[in-house]
Amino acid sequence: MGATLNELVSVPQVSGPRAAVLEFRGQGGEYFRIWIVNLLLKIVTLGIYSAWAKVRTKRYFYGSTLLEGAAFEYHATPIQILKGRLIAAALIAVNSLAGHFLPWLAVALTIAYLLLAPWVVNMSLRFNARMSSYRNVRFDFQGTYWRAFLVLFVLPVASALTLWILAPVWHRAVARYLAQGYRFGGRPFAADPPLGRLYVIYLQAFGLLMLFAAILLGTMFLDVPHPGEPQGDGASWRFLVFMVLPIVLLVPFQLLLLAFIRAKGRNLVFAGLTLDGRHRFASGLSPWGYAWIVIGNLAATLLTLGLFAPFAQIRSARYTAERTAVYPASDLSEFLAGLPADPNAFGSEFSDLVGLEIGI
Amino acid sequence: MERFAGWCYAKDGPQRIAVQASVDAAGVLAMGGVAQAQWSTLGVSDRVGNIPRRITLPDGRVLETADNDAVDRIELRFRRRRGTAWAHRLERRWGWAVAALILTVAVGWLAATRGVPLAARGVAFALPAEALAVASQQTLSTLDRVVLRPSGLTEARQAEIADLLRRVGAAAGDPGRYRLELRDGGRIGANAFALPDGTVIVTDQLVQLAEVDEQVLAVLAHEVGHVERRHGMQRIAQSTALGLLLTLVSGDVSQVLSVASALPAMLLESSYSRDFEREADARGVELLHRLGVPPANLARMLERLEEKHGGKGRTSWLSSHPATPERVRAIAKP
Repeated sequence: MGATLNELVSVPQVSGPRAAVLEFRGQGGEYFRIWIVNLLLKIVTLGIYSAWAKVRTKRYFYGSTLLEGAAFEYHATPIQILKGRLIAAALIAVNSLAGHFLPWLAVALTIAYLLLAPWVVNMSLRFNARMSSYRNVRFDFQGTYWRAFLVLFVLPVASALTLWILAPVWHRAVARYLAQGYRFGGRPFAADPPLGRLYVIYLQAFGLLMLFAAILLGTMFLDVPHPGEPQGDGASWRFLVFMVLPIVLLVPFQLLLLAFIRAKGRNLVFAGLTLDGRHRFASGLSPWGYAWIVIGNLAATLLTLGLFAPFAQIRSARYTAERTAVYPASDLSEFLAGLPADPNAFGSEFSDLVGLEIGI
Repeated sequence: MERFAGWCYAKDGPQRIAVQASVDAAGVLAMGGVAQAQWSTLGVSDRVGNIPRRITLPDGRVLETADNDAVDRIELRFRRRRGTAWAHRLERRWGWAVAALILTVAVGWLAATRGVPLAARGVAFALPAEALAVASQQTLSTLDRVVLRPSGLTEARQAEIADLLRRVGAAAGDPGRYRLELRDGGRIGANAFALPDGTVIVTDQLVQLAEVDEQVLAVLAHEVGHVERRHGMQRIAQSTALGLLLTLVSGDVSQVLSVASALPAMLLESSYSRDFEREADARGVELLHRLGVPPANLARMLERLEEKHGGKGRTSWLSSHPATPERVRAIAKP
């Protein structure tokens, strides 16, 4: 395998065997062709093909991500995804129709959906995990309703009510919920990022926010046109530079803040992530590098009216993969060889699972 | 004889050995020279780009190989039903990609300009009268709660306006369908709306703005045009269909693009809305001719409304409706 992670970026040194860095082999041009064919077929089939498109896309990205020369695999069938999407579409349609004709029903349905949401999120994570494998070993996810409820509703509301002072607590809860839920070959993952260091990340982000606010306010106050100054073209220029520019910069700045928190947060969570209590992980995203990927992708995608989107997806997948590593406690192959065969792994039970999807 | 290298995995497990696989002229797969199974009994994953192929043997073992071309050649020869292999054939060539891009733009454009309005019309006219009634009463009670106040006009004046609507309804051939609701317009001022079930809401301010009753009659004729063509229901159906279409196009791309697609959605919806206004104007003119009222009354009323609202800088009036001079010209046409 190629360079170790430490040659690429600086990550904390972990004793034991050398890092196995993820490798990404996807190509922008190759994926563009898959993407555009998917898009056309989705439109002409009125969306039915989106299930097939989803599977092809996921298989492409999983199959292009390699660890120690072996690719990840995605196993869901389009029919499973289609069933999930039809259920979701039916629920949305019922709710939207109720909104026009029977508002009380729409309110009742919305409450029911919200109460079901933690269960749906667990189901969706479970489906996706079970449909993923590495070296013929499946992932799994087990989450409880109330953990999901806490992460989805209680902590976000608490964070918002406390002016985001509790945001790091929320961040830690999400990391724990996900890490403690995932399994690989039946072996559990675990993570417990230190709260203090999460607060440091959010404080740094807050500092950035203050900096930007200062710049924005500064430009507004510094250049108030003086009375008696000639008005005309100069005034409209000033308006453009000092009034419009900050608003235009607002979106990239928001993305910068989010990318900063995401990159630093991911690095911190991965530093404490373990599999089976022994194998460790590392993530070395540079907050600025990652922000550049995110903002550059958005700008290029907007400028090309969406045509850059597939290249953007490849670009961020490559960036993230190449800065993620596994530190197996012993040899990776040895660990894998020691896993018991899972008789249920590819059994028929999975063909009944419905691909409910929800982003988290 | 096709040969390719790969990994053979144990059933449901990570244990694997590197193997040399081959498929002979009879279609029998061998690994390390040992015959395993007939190719047509194997489960072979569809090709996507150049990601490894997964070949599942009848006994559950898995043969994984990166030699996509060899697998494709074998599939072509020994498989009767080849799943979605056609998808990869489209995805493989730049020519198809360019064709797909052109077609996507063309089909997307047709769907947005023709398909969505056509589908919305179909849906709107398929809905039963009860559905129209429920949706309309819902809208009216919401409007009453949020902006409208009880009318301040005298009962005699209200009866006169109701009589105007009866005349328009009779001219349209369906006098029982229309029902007048007069309201104080509050902050929306002089305005009139048609609800799908035939309820026509007219504000006091509009009645006061009219110089003669023929001008109110002209507005009512325009609103009856909206009701007859079920524009209200079409609008709901259009925004739903458009939402679905845009989700299809931008949904998988990114969250940010989904937000960015709100702008084209708004532009399209106001363009649909302008088409509705033109239709309602044309139908209004027709009805006015039948009643022997000069259509210039509608044109005059539109101009007065623009003066009123334009003075307040209401651009939404202009964007969801064609520019008044254009409408006035269209009305004046014989």
